Amino acid sequence: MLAWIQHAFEMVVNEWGWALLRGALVTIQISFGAFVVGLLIGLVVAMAKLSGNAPVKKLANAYTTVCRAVPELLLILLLYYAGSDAINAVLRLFDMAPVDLNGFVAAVTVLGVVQGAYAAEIIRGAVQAIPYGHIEASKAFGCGRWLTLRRVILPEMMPYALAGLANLWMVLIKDSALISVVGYNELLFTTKQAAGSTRQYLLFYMAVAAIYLLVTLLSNAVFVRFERSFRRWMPAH
Amino acid sequence: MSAVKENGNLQQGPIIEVTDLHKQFGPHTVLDGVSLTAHTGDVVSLIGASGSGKSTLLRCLNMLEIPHRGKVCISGEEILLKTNRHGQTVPANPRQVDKIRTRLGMVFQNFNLWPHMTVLENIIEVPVRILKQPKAEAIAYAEALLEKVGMSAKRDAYPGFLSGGQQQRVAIARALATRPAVMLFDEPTSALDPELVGEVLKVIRDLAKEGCTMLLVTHEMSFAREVSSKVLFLHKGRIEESGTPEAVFTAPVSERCRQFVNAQQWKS
Repeated sequence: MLAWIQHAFEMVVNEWGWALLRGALVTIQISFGAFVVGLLIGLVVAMAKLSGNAPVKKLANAYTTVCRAVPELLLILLLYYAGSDAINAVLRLFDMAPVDLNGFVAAVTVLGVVQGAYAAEIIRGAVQAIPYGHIEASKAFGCGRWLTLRRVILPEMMPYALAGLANLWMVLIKDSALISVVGYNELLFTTKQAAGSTRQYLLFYMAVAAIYLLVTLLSNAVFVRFERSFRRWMPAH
Repeated sequence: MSAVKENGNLQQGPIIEVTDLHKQFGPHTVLDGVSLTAHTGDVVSLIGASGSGKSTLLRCLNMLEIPHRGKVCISGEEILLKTNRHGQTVPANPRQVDKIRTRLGMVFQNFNLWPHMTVLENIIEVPVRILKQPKAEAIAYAEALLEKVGMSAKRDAYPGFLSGGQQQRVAIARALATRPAVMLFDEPTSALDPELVGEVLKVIRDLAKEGCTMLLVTHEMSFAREVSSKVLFLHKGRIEESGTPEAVFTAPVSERCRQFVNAQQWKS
């Protein structure tokens, strides 16, 4: 038994440790990039839904509906293969050499676009939770729209949005594994290689599950701190 | 502290001049041709039953409600309105409205302090961000205002941890921080527990004594009678009665005003 554990440790940590670590890092990078892109898209779309004119609202609604309806996996395949085809077709028109779509950029873009749809709904709900009088006070003192957004709406909606955004982040860490279908070396893809070449399927898949769990626990700790800081002005119930 | 100095130019004429204001919410006419003027040092109280249009009139002064017709001049500057392609009346120049709003200190029924900012941050927000005052100067003035409304001890507290009366006193300090030409009070004590009304009225009374120009929408009849230089009684979107507090409260010409005033006096 002891010998087996020693052997397992040797394989996972000594032989594949660096590769797995690099994979985990890539997973976190993809997730973080997509989270930021998603937040920015979500913010713009939420504002469009709340205060845009009719055509803008329709567009925003169409975006959130479609991106929440189509499987992320399909969107990744679509953007990666169809997207690189389209880019190369355009490049050919201008007699330029074809390019390979960077897997990282594709992952961040696709996941960000999907996350944006969910983030938009979370942010929209959080903004609507702000009593309108607070926004009206800002108007009544001559703060323009931009200042009101930056100084009142965004900071005040954060406590209401945080739980939903934390959820989104957790889902994102796991969704980033989908990018392995286009052969990009993130955590799960690396693990598949390790498991396949050593034939230690159980060992490696359990190890990677533990890594995902660890990342999630760490994220949780960070979000708890955020929440405490964002809620400091709210009296406890 | 000396009397409240105003930002913007000192005008010879009236500070507020409203001419023939009309406002509708759907088919319902809320203001039906209202005119009023207020000069420096005036304390004008707007009284009347709920739905008579007094709050709407106040909110038309800083364009929180856009009137359909009529003219609003603040310190001699007319707020320019235009009709957009949907047939709605909108400000012709939003920047002009924002500029004029900094000269009007609004106090709301529900305080509407920004809950994520401390008391001090609430007060210096507009002076620092909009009027571009140096932060140290804004803080010094904010502290003087907090002293005046008796809230110095709560300088670094968040509004959510204060009582309604304390929040409203901070809200008054916030409105004073821009050195407005006029203070607008929209039922400042209506959301307060009865035992907290006094502390807020005391602050407003002190301001009136200092010669601060104010427009006050209120249901506190004895207070209106005590502090006002002029009282307007609104009924169905029209000014039904106006004059000195004595005239309006003791010898009203209009029958409706007489009934309203009597009913209010019975209550208190």
